[in-house]
Amino acid sequence: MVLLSSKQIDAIHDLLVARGVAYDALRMDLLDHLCCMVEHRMDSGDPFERALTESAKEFGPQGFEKTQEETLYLLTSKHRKMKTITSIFGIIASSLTLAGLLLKILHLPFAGILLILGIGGLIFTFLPMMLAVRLHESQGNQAVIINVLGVLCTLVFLVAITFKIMYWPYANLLLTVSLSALTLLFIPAIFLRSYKKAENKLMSVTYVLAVFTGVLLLYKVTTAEPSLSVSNGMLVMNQSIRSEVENSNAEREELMASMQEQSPRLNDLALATEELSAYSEHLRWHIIALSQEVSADDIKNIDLENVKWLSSIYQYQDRWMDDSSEFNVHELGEKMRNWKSKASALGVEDAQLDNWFPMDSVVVPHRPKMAWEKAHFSNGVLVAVVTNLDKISLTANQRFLQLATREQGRQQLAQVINPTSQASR
Amino acid sequence: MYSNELIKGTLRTIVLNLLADQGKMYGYEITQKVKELTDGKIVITEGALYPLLHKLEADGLLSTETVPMGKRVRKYYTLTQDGSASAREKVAEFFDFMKTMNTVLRGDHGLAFE
Repeated sequence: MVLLSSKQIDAIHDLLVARGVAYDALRMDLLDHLCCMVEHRMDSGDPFERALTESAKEFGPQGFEKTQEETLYLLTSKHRKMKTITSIFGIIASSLTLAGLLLKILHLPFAGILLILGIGGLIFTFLPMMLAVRLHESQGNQAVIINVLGVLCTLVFLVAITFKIMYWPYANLLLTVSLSALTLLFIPAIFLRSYKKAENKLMSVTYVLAVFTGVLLLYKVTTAEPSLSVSNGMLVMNQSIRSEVENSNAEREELMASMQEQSPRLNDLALATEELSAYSEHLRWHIIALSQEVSADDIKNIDLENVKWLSSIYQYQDRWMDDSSEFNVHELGEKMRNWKSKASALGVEDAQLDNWFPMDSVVVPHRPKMAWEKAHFSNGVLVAVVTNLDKISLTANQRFLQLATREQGRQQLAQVINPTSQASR
Repeated sequence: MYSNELIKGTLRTIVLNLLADQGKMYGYEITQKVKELTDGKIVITEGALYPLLHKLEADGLLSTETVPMGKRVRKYYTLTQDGSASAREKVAEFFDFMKTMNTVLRGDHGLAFE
């Protein structure tokens, strides 16, 4: 039996390389296989050269390449399937997210549920699967770190965006975390790799700077605070209502003191007014304290300049919408109803009272009709809620003054008509 | 020689069963053995055998052992535990398949056979 020499084996090896067999593990098999075929032919008398040509012919013209292609195809089949499934999940989740966003922009129903499903799909199926695929493909620690960092940043960013869209708390914190991680970890990692590899170093610096600028702009846009002029304008508006409230409080007390003869019903209304006004004042500071996360004792000392008048109160609303809390809007509603009943005793008609203190459901833009409490005290920004409370105080006081003046006039008239009668009407 | 489609569908079964019978074998040996066993009726081409061997190895059904032979290296393939189980499964499945084919081809509504 013929055994090939090292030189002959080298010749066969060169042939395989020349025919494009680059995959080492396969080349090892094919080399031995071809050697066996050649030896077999040489045993029956063929010279080496002819034995090799004939053996190679058996593989067909592109036989070696095709064998390699087929091998690599079979070896990567699982990975390809995984990639396809990942893409399908990605497409479904992105479509849901896009549909949700579209509905949100058009103010149509089901926007929230679609957004949650879509972003949830991205977070829980697409991103982990994509990470698995990328890790399978990536070589070296650096690539692994970059992929893990990239996916983590995206994940936290998506969660933050969801919170932002749904008006859940801590959205800005999450946003800051994800964008900081992106800026401080991910971008430097990308930069180091591309700087090492890039032929044009300047290009990679430009690229990183552009991405960095983009991230900062994104941060600016998504966490934008309302402008100072809007905030100041709102505050000034509230302050003018406040001074009206204080004026009318003082006027009410003055009037009550100056009246020599008080009707018991007017007295009742005065008490109800005082109670309502005081309760509204307490609730006002209570809400400011909670929304600024300051303790109730400290709130009156807080510098008004430091209060974020335009901050959303949505995340704190439970603490005054709930009956069990010290100051709450239901109690406020009770005080208002009490005021109404006292005014009613003075002969004010119900329609008039509803006009002064409307407590019906409120139509809010882009939302279903809201109960009075909800619309006024769980929605919007701090300064609006506070102004709503001040307006209630102001209405109670001013209407009391109006009714008291009318009552006074009646008494005077009664005295003119019947000077001996001391009864009030 | 049988048609390519028939051989393609049974190649995995043939290779696994052969390895279960013979223990460890290298690629050329497998092609020769099959030729010998079937009187040349079944010829396994290299272009089909090696991709399959590599795939089975990647799936954990085969393990390999390399033996240097001068300037070249010979790679022996052996069944792993999973491979043995898969071999038994494949053979059982194929016998079942033959039985079914028998019924189909000889059945009343099938083609006339023999």
